[in-house]
Amino acid sequence: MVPLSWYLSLSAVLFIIGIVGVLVRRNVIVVFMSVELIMNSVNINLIAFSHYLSSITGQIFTIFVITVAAAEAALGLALIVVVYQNKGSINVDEMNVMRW
Amino acid sequence: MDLAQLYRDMQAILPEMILAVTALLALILDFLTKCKKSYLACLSVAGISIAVISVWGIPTEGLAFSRLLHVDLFALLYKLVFLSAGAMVILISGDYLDVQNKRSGEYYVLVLLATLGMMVMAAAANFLTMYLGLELSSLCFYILCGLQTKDARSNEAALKYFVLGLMASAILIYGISLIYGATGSLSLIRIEKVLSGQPEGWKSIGLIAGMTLTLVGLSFKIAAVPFHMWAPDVYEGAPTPVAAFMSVGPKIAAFAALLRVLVALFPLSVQWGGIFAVISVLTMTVGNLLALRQESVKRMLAYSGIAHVGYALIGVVAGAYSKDIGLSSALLYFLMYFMANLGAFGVLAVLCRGGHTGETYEELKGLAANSPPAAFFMTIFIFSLLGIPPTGGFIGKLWVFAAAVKSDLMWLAAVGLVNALISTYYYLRVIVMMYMHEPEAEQPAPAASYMAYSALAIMAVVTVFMGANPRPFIELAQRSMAAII
Repeated sequence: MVPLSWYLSLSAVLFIIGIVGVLVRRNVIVVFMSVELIMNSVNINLIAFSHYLSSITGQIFTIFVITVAAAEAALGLALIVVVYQNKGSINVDEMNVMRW
Repeated sequence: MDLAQLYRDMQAILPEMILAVTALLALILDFLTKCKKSYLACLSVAGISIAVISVWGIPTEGLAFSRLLHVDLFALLYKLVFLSAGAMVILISGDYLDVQNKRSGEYYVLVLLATLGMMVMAAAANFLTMYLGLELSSLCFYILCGLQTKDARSNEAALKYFVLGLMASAILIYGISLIYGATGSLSLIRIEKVLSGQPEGWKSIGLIAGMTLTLVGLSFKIAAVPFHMWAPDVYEGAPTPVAAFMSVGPKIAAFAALLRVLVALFPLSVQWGGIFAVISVLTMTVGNLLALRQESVKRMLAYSGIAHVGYALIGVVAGAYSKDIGLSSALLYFLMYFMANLGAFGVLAVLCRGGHTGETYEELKGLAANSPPAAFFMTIFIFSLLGIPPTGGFIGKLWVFAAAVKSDLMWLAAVGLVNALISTYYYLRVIVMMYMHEPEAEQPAPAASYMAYSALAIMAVVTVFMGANPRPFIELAQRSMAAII
């Protein structure tokens, strides 16, 4: 059987990749994908714990996380389309109308 | 599940159900009718009023839906706060939406659903319900920010809020997943039991990491420094009534959730007390110093809102040492503060009219001559935010500082006091601009309707009433806090 620590390491690595992606990437869609990566690391965590604790709660939470992520994807892409129509670009560096 | 239980559960979420039905009704009516949508404002306010009345019908103790939701005084108090904030926002936004030509049905639906999400969040007895409430309100606010689809600032605000808010939620649930692993439960009540049942000095790395990440996620939502970067941009870009709602609603809801989490994690109070001592000092100081250099009143209010979170966090830090006094003072602070902040943004929303954004200090010049009631209401709200005696803000600050002193945190109270002094500069500047300057050019009078003015008047009266007669509110805050400890 795969030990719990392996799952936790995988999810920690995904979490860090996601955070770094949000901070480093400049394309909004890639930033958005990085956040989805963090959410999936949460799902791995929850399901692994759920299995090792023999409690079903973690899996139920995962289903809710996936559902919310789907709603967020719809909303996020809609926002990106609106921004693209106005600006012709979805680069984070160009989001600088407001400063200080 | 027997029917009697189901009936009790349904009764416990009566206000939420009324709100949801009103929102759906507004959505359908918006779709079916082609005329001007101002009647939807009346419908929404009517729905909220019925929900407020129904709050009195619910029991004030117990748990509903298999221990997912709390039905206690704490939740009821917050429900009333969010409902009244929602109603006020709908009342002040009518004119603004007309000026911006943005009066559409979905605005009301989103405000109602956001209110619903925040109410669920404050009542959460489980991380699952807390997360769902948080997301429901956040998703609505992302859309509300970007309501002016043709405006570059509004677009930018929505996108920034969306990306950062999403990241904060993701960090929050990562923390929750670690806490779940360490304690084996998502229920706040159960987590507290597990933690307090542990032997002295027991701490696992996973639990500490989980707690830290959860608190980071919530700190993003309450806009505490160093997780505040999004707030000024988002408030400035969002339509003013939406900024008004955002400066109180999600912030107070996240704070309510924070209080519940902190109570559940009280066995770790040394750790979170330390974290929040640092965050509180940073939040007050950075918020105030950056507010000093703003030329836009809207942005100034955003930074000062950050500073207010810092004051309330003094109460949280004090709560790590003396639980009931500290945490109840933080609760009282927001209770006293929310009407004034909502009102200050509300006045700015009223001032938005033909060619004027009403957002900068320059545009406030000579407001007292131009529109005496708007200037008068603004003065009351600014006094309350500043903490001048006959207003609610004074009582809030007093109790927070008193809680710090009682918990032997004299230095923290001193930092708070110095910060309150710094804030006089930028708050009084608003009043100086309104009363001591002549208007520069011919300005059109505010287009505000009776609806907006009556909402501002209600908020001003409540602000002064809370300050002049604080006893019942203080007792209410203490009793609500006692209900969850």
